Amino acid sequence: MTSTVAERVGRLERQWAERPGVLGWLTTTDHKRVGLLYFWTTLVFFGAGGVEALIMRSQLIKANNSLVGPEVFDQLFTVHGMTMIFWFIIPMTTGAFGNYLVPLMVGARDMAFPRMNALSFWIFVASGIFLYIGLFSGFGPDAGWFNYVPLADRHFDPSRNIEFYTLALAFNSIASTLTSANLIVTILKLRAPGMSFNRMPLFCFAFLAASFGLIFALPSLSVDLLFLYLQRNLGFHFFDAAHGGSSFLWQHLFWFFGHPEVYILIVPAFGIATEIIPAFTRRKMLAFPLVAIAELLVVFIGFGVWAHHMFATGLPSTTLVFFAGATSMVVIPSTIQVFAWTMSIYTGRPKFRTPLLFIVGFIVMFVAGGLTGIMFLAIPFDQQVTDTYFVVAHFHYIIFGAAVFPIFGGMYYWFPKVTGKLYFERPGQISFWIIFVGTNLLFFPMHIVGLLGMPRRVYTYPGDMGWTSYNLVESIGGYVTAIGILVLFANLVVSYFRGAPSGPDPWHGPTLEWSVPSPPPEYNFAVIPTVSSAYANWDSDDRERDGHRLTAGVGTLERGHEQHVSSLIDGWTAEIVDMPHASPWPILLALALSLLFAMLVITKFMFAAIFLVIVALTLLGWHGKEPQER
Amino acid sequence: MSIRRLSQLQWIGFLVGGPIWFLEFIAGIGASEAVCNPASGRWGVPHDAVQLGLMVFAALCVLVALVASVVVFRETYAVEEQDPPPHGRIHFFSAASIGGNVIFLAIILLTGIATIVDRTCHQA
Amino acid sequence: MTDVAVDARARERLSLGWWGVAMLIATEAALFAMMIGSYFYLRFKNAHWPPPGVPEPKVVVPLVLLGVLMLTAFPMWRAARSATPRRWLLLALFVQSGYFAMEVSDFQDDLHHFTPQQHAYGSIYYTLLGADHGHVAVGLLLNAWLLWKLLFGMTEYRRKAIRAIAFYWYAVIVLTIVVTLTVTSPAFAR
Repeated sequence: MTSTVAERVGRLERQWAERPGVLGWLTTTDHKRVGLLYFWTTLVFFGAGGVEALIMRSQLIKANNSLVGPEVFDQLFTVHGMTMIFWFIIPMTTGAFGNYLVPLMVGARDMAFPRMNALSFWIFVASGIFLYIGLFSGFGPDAGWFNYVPLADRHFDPSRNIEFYTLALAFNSIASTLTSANLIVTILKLRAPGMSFNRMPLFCFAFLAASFGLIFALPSLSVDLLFLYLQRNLGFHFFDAAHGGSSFLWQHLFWFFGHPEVYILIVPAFGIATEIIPAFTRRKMLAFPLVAIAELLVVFIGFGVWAHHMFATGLPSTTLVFFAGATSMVVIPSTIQVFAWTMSIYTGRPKFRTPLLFIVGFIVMFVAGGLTGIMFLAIPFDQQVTDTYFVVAHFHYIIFGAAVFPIFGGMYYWFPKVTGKLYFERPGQISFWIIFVGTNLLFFPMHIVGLLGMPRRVYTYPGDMGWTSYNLVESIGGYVTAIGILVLFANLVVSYFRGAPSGPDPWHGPTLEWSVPSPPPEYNFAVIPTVSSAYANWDSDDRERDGHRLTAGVGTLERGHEQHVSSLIDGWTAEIVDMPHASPWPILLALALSLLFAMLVITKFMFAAIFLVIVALTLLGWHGKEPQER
Repeated sequence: MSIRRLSQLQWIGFLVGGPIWFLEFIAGIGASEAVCNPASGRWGVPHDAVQLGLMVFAALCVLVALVASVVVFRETYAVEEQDPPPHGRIHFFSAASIGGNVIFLAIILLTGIATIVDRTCHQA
Repeated sequence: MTDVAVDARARERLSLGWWGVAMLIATEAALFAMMIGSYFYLRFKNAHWPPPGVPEPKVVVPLVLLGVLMLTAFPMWRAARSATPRRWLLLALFVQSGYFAMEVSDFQDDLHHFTPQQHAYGSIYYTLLGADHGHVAVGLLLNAWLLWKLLFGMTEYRRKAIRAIAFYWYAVIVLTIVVTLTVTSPAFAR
């Protein structure tokens, strides 16, 4: 009997084996490898964004400083914002955590579209290289991450900086759209038999919400970018009132994307929190249906609040009250989640290991940032603090607190699964405390200095405004945070080489990824798992049943790269399909697209058209090989 | 109640509220913008009447969805949270929809009343 | 033959490719919704729409062409269900190409009367129409690809592909209805 199991596993190992070496990584379509590629690449961009932040904080450490001038400072805050949002948080959450974990959590062997997964990674890398070529060649975007017209129009910003803005973002948004489509179809169609929606992990609800958000929000940004490119380069008129346009149109389109985007930033992190809490409190999440719907509602209602970013623009109040009303209610789903998390911790048996510490830190920072957010919905108050450091404080508490803290917590939590090693706990806790103290030192004084009138996006300030000592504290906080982050990564690196073996399930985690070896084999599951709850790894009867099925050869799907496809609503077995494996087409297509976008930056439309034809031919090649018939 | 009927009511409860709120929301903003722009203000759109109509229509639809969710929730009260489909799934969505529809109803009423009571086209 | 049987309770069995196209349609629909919203937003901002010197949009020809495109939904639907899809695909492609050629000709004719560089009206008009025609062009390429693939026989993959591409066409037709009604709207309501 045992040798039969070994034979089955051996067959799966051979069929799913990756090519060795660098070529294997360049042609991989395995969701775990793609997730790791995203992970390391986003960390490079995180470092870049962090360096930009430290330079800014060093410039602002004292009044009338001249470390960098205004032109460079403009590029720094613009590229810092763009990098952190589009090249760190979104790809880290959806690209790294989402790609690696979602197939494992739903009981699948890969994402629904493995080659498209690889494509989205290579496009993402190319778009980042694009942006930084712009920055390093002195053409970094410099009109803020939201790039308002008329400042961003030809008249005030004649050189190529804004073309790098429009095209890097447009290129990046293709990658995000592809990843989102992949995550949605994976979550809807590749669930293990028995995984109806009420038995799906909350992590998957969060990623479903964020992905739907991206699918519907990114087009608004794309339209805005298209209009701006046409206006700047082909003389179209969308945003200039002299020719029937409106600069408000840029803002409406931008924020229709921009507000859902910020919920998209934090909702995957909510998903991470909803998995770490059950694991370290040893109880199921309270109010499961309400937490699940809250994750979806935050993003859905978030599509209706965009003009709260425009309260100071002079729009009529009869229009703006719609947004004030929706903004007041969008708080409710977040609050439901905060109550569920804190009550689950309170009523559970918490073990405050590093991952849970980061989640508690996240809850504290998120509540603080959320409270200032609620204050903004009062239009008169908003009009007082618009464009001051109070806003900067608010969104950094939210983004750092509600997105970055869970990301750090998640890195520690899933470190054993990805590497097969345990991290060192003591340095982990130390890294948490340094980062927590550092971020509060860095961002809290911004509330005060903002209320004292310090505007955003200024490269320096006079010494007699009473702002100097707050800026000093903030800059010190920035350096402390940087040290904490370095300790965190040093710990992970040393743990990788020196950590004790973790085994498959060091935390007795609730979800299916903990039922497979660490790190998981290429095929994830030797047998398609039986699922009877959203905490499948805690259902020991089902896991035992899987063991018997493996021995009997039932549900092992060993004929090629087989994947189980389920029906949409209740997860019944609909078909078995043959999945694509390693392929060179994704990286080739990404290359062709990069060249196309490069031609658009330098407005060489003839060459752009040629590369468009090459893109079409590459797609033809991609679809040349068909899956095996069943 | 048959499982088919339960399932239909469950989907009404889950799928109606959000889209109705969003469409009413966009229509309301659109009406406000249409009235308050110099170029289109001359079309004579009766702002408050339009907003009242939109609010009442949307509120009624969401109320129907809410009632459907409550009915299904009560019918499936004995079902456990992690029970197998279709009953487990139906109960889950009905519970979730109650929360969602209450929030949508609140937004519709808040924004509708605010925009009617407020001075039309007064700059904020 | 496989060791996991299809569950009889699975009523929804659309292919992964179909769902991929559904995601594409969702995002493209949002794209067009934003452009159409922009059209009306700009319209609210302008007392004269079209601006003086620009002719009012034609109504009859666009609506007739729209009707022709809508009719091609039928051969696409038949192709997705037929044992001999090639004839239906050929018919659809023939009519769709004729539609596309007429639209391109109209587009060029419009450019003689007003340009996108003159006023926001022209800018949004040509961008919206251009985007719609671009989606039709992609549809033509997809149909051509299907016909080429079918030269080598029918497989389960190709059957799924026809269904998915038919779905793409239904969406493009709906999109074209909305876009055509939008750009002809100044002729109906001043």
